Amino acid sequence: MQSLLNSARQTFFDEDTILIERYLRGDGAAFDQLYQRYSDRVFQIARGILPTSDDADDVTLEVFSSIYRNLVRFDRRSKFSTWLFRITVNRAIQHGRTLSRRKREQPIELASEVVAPVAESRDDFTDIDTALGQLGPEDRAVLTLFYWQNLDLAEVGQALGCSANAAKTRLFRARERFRKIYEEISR
Amino acid sequence: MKGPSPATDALMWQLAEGQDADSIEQFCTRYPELRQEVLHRANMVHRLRESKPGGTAKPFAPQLLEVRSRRPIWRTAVPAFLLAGVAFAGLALGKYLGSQSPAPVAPAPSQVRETTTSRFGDEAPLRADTRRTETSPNPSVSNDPTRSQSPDNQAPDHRDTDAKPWDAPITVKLRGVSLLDAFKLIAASGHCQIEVAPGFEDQIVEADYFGRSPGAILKALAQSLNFTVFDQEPGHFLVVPASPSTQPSRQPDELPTIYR
Repeated sequence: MQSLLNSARQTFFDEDTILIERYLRGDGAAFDQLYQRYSDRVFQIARGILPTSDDADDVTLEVFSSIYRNLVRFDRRSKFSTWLFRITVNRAIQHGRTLSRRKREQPIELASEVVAPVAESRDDFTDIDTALGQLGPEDRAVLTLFYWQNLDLAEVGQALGCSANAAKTRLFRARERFRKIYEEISR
Repeated sequence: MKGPSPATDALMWQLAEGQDADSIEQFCTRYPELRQEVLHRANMVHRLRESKPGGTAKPFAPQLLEVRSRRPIWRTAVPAFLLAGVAFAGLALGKYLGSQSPAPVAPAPSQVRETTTSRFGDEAPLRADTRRTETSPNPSVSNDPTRSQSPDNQAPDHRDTDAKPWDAPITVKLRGVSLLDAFKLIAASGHCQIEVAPGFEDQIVEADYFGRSPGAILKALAQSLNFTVFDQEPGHFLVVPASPSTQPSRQPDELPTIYR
């Protein structure tokens, strides 16, 4: 029984936790270290979900600003990285929806003139970028977490706010959709 | 064409994600018809992983956030409200003081309104008289030195608020000016209205009056230049060309000239 309670109250004490403790005691340099550790990964997740690097930059700064103010709310039931990625995914999906809504709300003539090519495309990965660009933000989030961040299904589930099984299902569907688009582009 | 079974499909994804060449080769040997499919998936997964962007996040400046987030809102709001209150009080005080002091009166002779009515009933300015007044070098007016304010642009002394402006003593220097110009000057500097009856003969005036009320000046002029002054009402004088006994009867179409 005691072991069950202990496992239920499991907290993660790793290097991130130590940095968080230091920051909460007033050591600003500890937050800098957290940022150095995770800013690239946060940017990559945001970039996988959003169409341009500028949008990903905006979301990255938003995420760290939010964490800077609310780190005291981190309850340590999950790893800090999982908590951070979940915030990132939510912010990026929210940002992507805002972009889509703005695009829809623009007058037709203006939208056709200005906003048509939104997604950035890198020369070496045009096919991948195009295929990802045709997926929804939730699908892109799953693929990004699994293939770019190499998270296992349990971590992907935590980052998406679902179980590991649900994450597996989401990954399967997103991967199938991506494959179909990718094959069409590759032909 | 029938696709692979779910188990085979899952195995193919596992191989594609594992990227192990030997395992893929074994699978292809066993399922040669799925060779192209599994290689295609492996290539796709490989490219998807390779496409991970580099980290190019902008530098973070938490010290800026610290200033904004840790400053209580009342520390900004209270000074802002205080400043707004001081500004509003200043504005209200200015309006109150402005309402207490009367608007300044401009007594310059050029602003004296002088009109006469022609026989046709049209109102026309007395241009000859006006020019003469503006170009005349000799007349000069100053208020009595005992008064503390100038009539041009200063607020009146509140100690004199009971005194009527047309009773206030003025100083007028009239040297070689016409009588009509003298009336304009007196009216302007004395804040009174002088009505000149029709048929008044103009004359040249040579006189100085120090510290006397407009009414007193007019009466002094009347004695020396043979005309009569009537007090119509406070601040309003009527001058007629002769003594009361010889006052000509006014024709119905002739109207007086009024100097204010």
